[in-house]
Amino acid sequence: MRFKIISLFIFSIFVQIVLNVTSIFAQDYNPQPLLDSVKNKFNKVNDYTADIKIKVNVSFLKIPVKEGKLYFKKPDKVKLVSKGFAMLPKRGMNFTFNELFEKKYNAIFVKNEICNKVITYVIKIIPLDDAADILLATLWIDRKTQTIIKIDAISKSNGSFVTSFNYPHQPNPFNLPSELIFTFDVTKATLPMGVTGDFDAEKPKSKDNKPQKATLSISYSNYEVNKGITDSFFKDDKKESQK
Amino acid sequence: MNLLFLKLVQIELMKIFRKGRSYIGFGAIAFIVIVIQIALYVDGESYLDLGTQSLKESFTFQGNLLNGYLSVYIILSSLWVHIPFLIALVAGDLIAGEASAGTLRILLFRPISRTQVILAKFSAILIYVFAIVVFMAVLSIGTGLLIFGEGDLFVMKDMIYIFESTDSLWRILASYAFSFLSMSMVASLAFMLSSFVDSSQGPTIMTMSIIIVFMIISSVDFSIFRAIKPFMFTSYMGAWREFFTDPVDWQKIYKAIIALLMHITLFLGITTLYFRKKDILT
Repeated sequence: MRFKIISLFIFSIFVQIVLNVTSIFAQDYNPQPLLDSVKNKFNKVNDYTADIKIKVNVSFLKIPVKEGKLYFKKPDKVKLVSKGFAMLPKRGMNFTFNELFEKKYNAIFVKNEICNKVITYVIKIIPLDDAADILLATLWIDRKTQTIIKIDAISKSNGSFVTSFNYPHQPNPFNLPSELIFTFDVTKATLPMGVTGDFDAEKPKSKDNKPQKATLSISYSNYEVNKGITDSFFKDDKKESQK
Repeated sequence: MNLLFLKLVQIELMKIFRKGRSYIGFGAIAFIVIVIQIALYVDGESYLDLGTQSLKESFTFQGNLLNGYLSVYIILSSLWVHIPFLIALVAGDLIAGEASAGTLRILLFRPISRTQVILAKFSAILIYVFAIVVFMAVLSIGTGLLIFGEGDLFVMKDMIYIFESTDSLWRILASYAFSFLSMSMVASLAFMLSSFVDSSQGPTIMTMSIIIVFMIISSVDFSIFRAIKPFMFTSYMGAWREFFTDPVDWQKIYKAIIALLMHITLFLGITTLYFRKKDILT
């Protein structure tokens, strides 16, 4: 028992030393090959379908857990077929944040860090295009599998948002995640009165000025990758999405 | 005895449904329900966008929120304040109308007690209220589902609730059942006022005035009114909305049901006592 504790202690010191040493050489590390590897890995996925479960956690919204089938096609076509009503985050459903990489950017390796019990490279991305919506993004990339573990981004339109990725124990050939957890700013969201026509209705809970966050977790299962989905399938068809 | 009472109720019902004013409620409800459904069909999407605009900045919506259940909820929200006036129009005429027409004395010549007369009339007005509420429920749910189909129910209160379609119908039906109790309370108030006077317009106007004043006091949040709010029946009439929260605040609903039942009993008791001692001259 005592031996176990000492071993763990020595191991943690070792990991800390490794992380610190690599951080010293941070400026010398060129993150571009790593980012290319991440991009190339996902570029192998032309399209996929998956069964998903969506859980929304927002202070001013109560919605049951929704199930459905998600269809994705490169570069950013997304369609959810579910029974009833469901909500998806506006961005982040294509896993790689193509919008980050599609125009010129600067990538800076910052440090190594343990994120979700995984040793990761921490890389900052600064888009150089003035018109880009994302102002700054920080990526945590698994050193071993070269998959994204977490993205923390600041955008012009929606404030800051964080996306965490969990992967299955048995990795699939395309390294697709089993769960995505989105956390984003909803401070701007307000509830208008009078939508129901009920003049005596309860007033919305007054919100203080503290930033409000929404958390949306999506679990993925039964992936089918590169089976071929036509573009016409993604045309807005309300009846289709309600099947 | 029971047969005689049933016969009395039947006669009272015939009296109610022979009068033109009894159909004003049905006509008004049918008109408003159909107008709201048409308006939602034409302009529903932009109407709903108003409520979801800020959410759409962060979320993409999948599925249709403009459905039959939402239309029923909007109709319920819009009409629950106004239906009492249609009920008062009939209930306020029940005793005073006969007094002004001079048929009350003739009615009391029969070998029946005054209490029986009151109970028969009250039973008849309850049946009328039930018919109005069922008519509104069937029409709103029927046309809503026919035009828009089923879907998840979107409710905006102190926060946004989205109920699955399988979880929505029972809430709507429960709200209508509660509305029956609220409207019965309004009917009992108008009925009581109807026993005090000999003119049918008086009780109707008085009932409307009381409801308007109470509703204004209930909705204005002054500290001076807070102490009296628990004693005003209008504070309990809106408890149907509690069926559209998650979890449902059953304690609030039970409290409202008990309060409304107590008001009905009180108003009916006062009516019976007063009518038994009333000097019927016409």
